[in-house]
Amino acid sequence: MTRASLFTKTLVLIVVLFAIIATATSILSGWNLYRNLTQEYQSKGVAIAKSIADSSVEILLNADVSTIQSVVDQFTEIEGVSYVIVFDGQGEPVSHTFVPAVPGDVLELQRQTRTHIFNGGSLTNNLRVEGMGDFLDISFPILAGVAGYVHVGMDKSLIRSRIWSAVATQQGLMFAIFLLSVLVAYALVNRISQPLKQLAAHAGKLATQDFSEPVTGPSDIDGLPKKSRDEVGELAESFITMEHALRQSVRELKETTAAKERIESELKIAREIQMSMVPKLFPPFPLRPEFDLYATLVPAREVGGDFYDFFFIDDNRLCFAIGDVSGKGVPASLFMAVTTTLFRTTAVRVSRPDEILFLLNRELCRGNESCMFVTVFCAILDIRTGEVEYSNGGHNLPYFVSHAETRPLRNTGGMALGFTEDVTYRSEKIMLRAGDGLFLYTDGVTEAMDEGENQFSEPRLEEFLQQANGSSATEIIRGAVDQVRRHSAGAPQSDDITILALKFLLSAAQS
Amino acid sequence: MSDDRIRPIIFLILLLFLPERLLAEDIVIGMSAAFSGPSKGLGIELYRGSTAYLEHVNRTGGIHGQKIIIKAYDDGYNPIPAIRNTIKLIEQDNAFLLFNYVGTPTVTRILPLLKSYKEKFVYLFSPFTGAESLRQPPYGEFVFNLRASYRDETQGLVDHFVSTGRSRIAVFYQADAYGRSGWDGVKKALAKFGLKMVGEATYRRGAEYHQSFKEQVDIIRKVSPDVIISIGAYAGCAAFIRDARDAGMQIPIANVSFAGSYPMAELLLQSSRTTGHDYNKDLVNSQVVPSPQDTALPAVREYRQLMDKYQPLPPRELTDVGYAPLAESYVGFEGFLNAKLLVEVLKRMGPGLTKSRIKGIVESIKSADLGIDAPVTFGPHKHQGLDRVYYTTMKGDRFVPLSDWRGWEK
Repeated sequence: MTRASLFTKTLVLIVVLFAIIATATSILSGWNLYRNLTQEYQSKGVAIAKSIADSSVEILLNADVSTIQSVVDQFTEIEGVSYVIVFDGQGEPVSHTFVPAVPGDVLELQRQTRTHIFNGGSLTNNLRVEGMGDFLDISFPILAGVAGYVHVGMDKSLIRSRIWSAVATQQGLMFAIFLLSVLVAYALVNRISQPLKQLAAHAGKLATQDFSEPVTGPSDIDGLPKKSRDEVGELAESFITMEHALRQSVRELKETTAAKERIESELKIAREIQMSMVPKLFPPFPLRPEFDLYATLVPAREVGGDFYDFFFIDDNRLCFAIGDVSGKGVPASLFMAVTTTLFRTTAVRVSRPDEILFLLNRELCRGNESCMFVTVFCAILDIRTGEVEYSNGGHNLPYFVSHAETRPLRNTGGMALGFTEDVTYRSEKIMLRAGDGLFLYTDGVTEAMDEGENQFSEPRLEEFLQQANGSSATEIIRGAVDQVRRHSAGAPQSDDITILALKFLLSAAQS
Repeated sequence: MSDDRIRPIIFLILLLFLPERLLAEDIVIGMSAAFSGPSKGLGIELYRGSTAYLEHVNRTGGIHGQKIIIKAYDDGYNPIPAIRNTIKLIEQDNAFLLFNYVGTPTVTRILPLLKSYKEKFVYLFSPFTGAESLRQPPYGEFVFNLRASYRDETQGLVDHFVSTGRSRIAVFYQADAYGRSGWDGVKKALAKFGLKMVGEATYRRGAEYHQSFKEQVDIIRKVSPDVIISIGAYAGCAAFIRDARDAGMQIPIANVSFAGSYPMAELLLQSSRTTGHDYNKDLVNSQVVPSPQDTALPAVREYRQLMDKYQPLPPRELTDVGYAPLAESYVGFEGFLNAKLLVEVLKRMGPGLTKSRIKGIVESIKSADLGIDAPVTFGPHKHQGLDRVYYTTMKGDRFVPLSDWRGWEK
């Protein structure tokens, strides 16, 4: 395609140029030739007429016309001379070469020019003779017209045929040059377009090529930079360089992708493990109508450092907690796994939140080389009374949501776990009535940002919780997640979102 | 080197010189004429007529023991070959004199050659043309004519026709020096009566009999002439006569001697046979020699006898296929008389031929008798031996002397 169009363009250009040159030169040389030949024929005719006139003086005076005829006949053998006619002093033709008769036009011309004063000697007229053609009639006086006149007719058609043959020869030459140019152009275009075509074909192949595969054998454009040491060669060289770079980066990309895929698959497994570590079966205790509990954990990455947990530590007491490990990803999730495992075992041993946190902190501090920490809010609900005893280790204070109010719990003032062993925690108590609830969350909720980096913030959460008063735990959590999602409106989730909602429905004592 | 070895070499050298010495004994006469083309009949018959007599002379002892050989070349009735042939005859063949040339356009062109070979004393004898330039300065002195001129012929024709009351004379002529010569003769003859030719038409030399001449016939018919005088070669003239008769022009048409009456009559007879029209009717031919059938004349008898005896052929190398030689003809008889004059001149020179003496000897010929009842006289200012013109017409397929012109009276 490339070659064809390049060649066609070049060819058209050459043809147009050729046509212009051919026409111009034809016209010019034809015109030149016509002028020169006419001039030449005229001077030839003048020379002949003069020579006949000069040699005829004596003969005419001797009245020997057959000798004049003989002289006249000789001149008709000269190329271009069509006729010669000699008139005597009375204007009567005495010798001529016409067959079968002297045309009236010639006699008429003699009658007209007889009175003409011959200035330089000769007189040239264009004469058209019916049935004979066009002539250049050159007349010359013999003895100043006293002895007579000579008319020599030069054939104009000969001039025309000469011009045509000259133009034809010239055009033949031009055509030969033209053919040669086309051939040369063809070769040239081929030489230029062949590498381009190769490049184009190669580029076409690149699209379908598997860059991850190793190169098999030399490429078809490898020789090009050496073969054509011009722009095409340079292009080929950059092409080759580009291809190499492309292969390199594709290879790297593939390796990276493979590594990432491996990690991702590992993370996926890790997430599955992590998710399996938090209870996910809801409602968790269908035989316990006293409360309604729902929780969710939406990790920012595949695995997160948030957790929640709840379990009965005896028949009437439900222990529940929420936590947030510093950092994210695999290290956070590992620390979270450690924390939840330790939390369960600790909570079973001691049944007070402050003690649980104290022990948990001590365990976590041991061998915490990477200096990770975790905030934990831990609470124990007595389902018979609705009394909740809680202790906070540096975590966001949960909200108490009742018919009348929505407020954060009173702080117990403990710090996050994992820093130092000798930290003691205090606990507080709060009484839940039927319909009251607790809303536990991690900072992933309040610090969720929209595209303008505006956080969801506590006031918005409080507003939501007030409005959602009366809803079930599941509805509240779903609503909260929905609100947060709506707030961030497509912005990537920056932190794990973990919520646990508990709604106390009735207590045996109260009822 | 021994004598035995030298002897054969000397012999060989002598042998090389031998043919030249043998040739030197012949008198080489140069001739350039039409042996091909439409006018070949003229060259061939002229040659045959001369050969008949020369053969007779050569067989009866030659000229002082020397044989006369005609070295003939063909010019096809064209000037350029005629010039070339002439140079060849003078330079190469060392011809003693030039003889029996045919045609005005050819001969008028070789005339300057004669002048330029003045030191070599090259003379042209008895050319077959009646043009004035051969009889006038500046070249007349190099030519010895036997025959009367075209001016003599045309004047006679005009005089006779005008006397019959036919004064509207048109001329049909060959577009060259010959035609112009006849045309001029007619013009001058008419001028004496205060007349002008009423029309004229030309044709190109070399025209063949099969060509059409309707154009020329139309031009002449338009001026409604009483007589047409035709100055041409036999093929063209015969074709013109044919077309004129076919066009319904039944006026007298006269031809001059050059037309070659016999070959012309032959062509017209052939056409008469195919069309049934008598093309030979109302034709007049002027002749410069008596009729070859007029056996009252001794030369005619001798001509017929020698032609019969030797049956001369055209020159061997110039034999044109398809030409049937004539038993007798005006042209042939003229050639015969030309040869008689040549022999007379050579005889008068005596043994030891020298070119420089030719002029003096010819000019001294007074009232020589060639056997045609007309004396031949030359002089320093008279290079034309005869001036009598004979008029003939055709009766059937025969030429008869025309003595009574009253048949065409108007």
